[in-house]
Amino acid sequence: MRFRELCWFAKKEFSTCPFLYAGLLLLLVFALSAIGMTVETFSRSVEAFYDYVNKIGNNQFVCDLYGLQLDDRELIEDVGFSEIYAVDDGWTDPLLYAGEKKLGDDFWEYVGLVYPRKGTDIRTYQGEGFNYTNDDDNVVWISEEVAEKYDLSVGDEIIQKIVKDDSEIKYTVIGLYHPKEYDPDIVFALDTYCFNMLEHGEFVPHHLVGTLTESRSYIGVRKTLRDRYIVVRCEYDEVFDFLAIADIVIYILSAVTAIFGVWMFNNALGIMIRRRMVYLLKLRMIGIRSGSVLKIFCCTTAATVVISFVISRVVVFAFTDYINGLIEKFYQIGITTSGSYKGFLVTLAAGAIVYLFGVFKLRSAIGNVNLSQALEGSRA
Amino acid sequence: MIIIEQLTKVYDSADRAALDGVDLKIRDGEFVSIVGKSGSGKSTLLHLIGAIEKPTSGKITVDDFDLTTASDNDLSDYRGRKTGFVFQSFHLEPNFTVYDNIRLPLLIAGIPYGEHKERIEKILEKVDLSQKINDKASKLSGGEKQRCAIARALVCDPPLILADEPCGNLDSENSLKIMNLLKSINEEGKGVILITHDKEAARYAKRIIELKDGRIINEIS
Repeated sequence: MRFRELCWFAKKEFSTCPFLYAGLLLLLVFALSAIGMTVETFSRSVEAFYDYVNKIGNNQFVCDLYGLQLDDRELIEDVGFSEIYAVDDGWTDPLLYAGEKKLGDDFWEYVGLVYPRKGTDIRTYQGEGFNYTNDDDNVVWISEEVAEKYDLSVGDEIIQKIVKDDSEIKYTVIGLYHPKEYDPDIVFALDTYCFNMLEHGEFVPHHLVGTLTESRSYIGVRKTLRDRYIVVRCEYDEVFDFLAIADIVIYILSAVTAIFGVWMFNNALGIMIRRRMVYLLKLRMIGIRSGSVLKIFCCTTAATVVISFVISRVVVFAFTDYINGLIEKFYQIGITTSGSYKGFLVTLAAGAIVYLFGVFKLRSAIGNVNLSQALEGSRA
Repeated sequence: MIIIEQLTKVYDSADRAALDGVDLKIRDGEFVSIVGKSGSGKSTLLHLIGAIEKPTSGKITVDDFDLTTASDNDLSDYRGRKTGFVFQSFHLEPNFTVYDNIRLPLLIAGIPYGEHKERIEKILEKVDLSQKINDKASKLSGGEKQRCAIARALVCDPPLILADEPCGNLDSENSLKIMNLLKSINEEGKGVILITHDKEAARYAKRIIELKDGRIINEIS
């Protein structure tokens, strides 16, 4: 049967049984809308959460890798962190001398450790900046106040005395800076300082931190690291755990709705075929092939599914916008439509599944027609 | 030429054969009436000739086309191109207009769209139903329905018309019209196989075959 004839028969089907097809359409619109709305509202909210996290972290999503030390970097270099650096976990209070004068005798000095590759927002006004990366040098930065008080300038030395083994480590001042409030007065390069202390049997508590430019990749990175028995933590772990569970629940709900939709639609198709059996038989008696009959009903079913899909998308957009508006208002987060593709794809997949099962139903219903027996019962 | 050899049909639910070893030859363009009481097997014979059902055993060939071994698609094509069915209960699509009902076989047979209107108008004129062309089939009287069914059977110009009790639901006036119509169709060269239990109607045929208990018991030419 050619396309033109097929269209004629399909059009006739719709005009002959408008209520039957309207019922099928309505049923499918409900099922597809339910699936679409569930998935889309959830995925849009999730995307909004990711955007929010990215935004407040300035695209630097921080993951703490507790248990990993400076020399463990190679264990995590392949997982996709944009930056890996170390942070100190404890109070640093070294015994420091400028010549014979002990630092901190007259006023309390706050000593900070900074990982040179990471840098800091402190800007030096003389000497090297905090991005100085020559690991082999024992270097130190001091504030303007410390420099003035102890008469220190770039190139001078600060000595750290180690009581434990009665030894000392010399650090060269390579930069001076104006401290802001809460900035340390003396800053050592964290890695150099840690390794120096280790050589003298002292451990400086620290751990590695990895940053991701995209919070969406956190779940994947977390899984990879957990597979390697590395503990990773972030500020939003509970939220991510909730999202992972909710994601599964949402897809299970969608699958259940899709199964229910398939079941209902197939029953409705069965009713439709039974209602149209007499017409179908008449067509068979005047010479239509069973394959062509199947094509006609597949065509009307496909049209019903496509129209249902389009209507359900409109319904989903309208309702999801409304629901997301409520979420935006309640949680004060901006929800974009960037998660819509998931709802679209899931609805499309559900529509395709419904159609395929529908075709199986039609095939079995039309293929089992016994012309002569059915003829006995059919009267126009 | 229709050649029927040792044709037997046994329904699953029946305790005896509906047709029992029937041998028959029907020439092209012949008007044959098949008569008999209810249950004699006449409708079964027509359904078998029309490829609506398959025999249990035996053979039917129509112009060298073996109906017993043909595929479902070939049988569909045979029904659409070689035969035209006329039933007692019309089997029209009640929601379609007369025009659309008659158009169905043309669409199925893939006749070019341009020819549809002309063919339908011509055939409606022949069955005297031109004025009802746009009426729904459900609105027609019994006689009109049957004439519409005959028009549908004829529109693809098949060489064989199979009529199963075409006057069974009609009054005598309409029955007369239908029988005259079938006669004129036969006179134009088409074969007509008429199933009837009405002896008056059977007399329109040039050959009458009587069936009883699935067997041919009498044949009058």
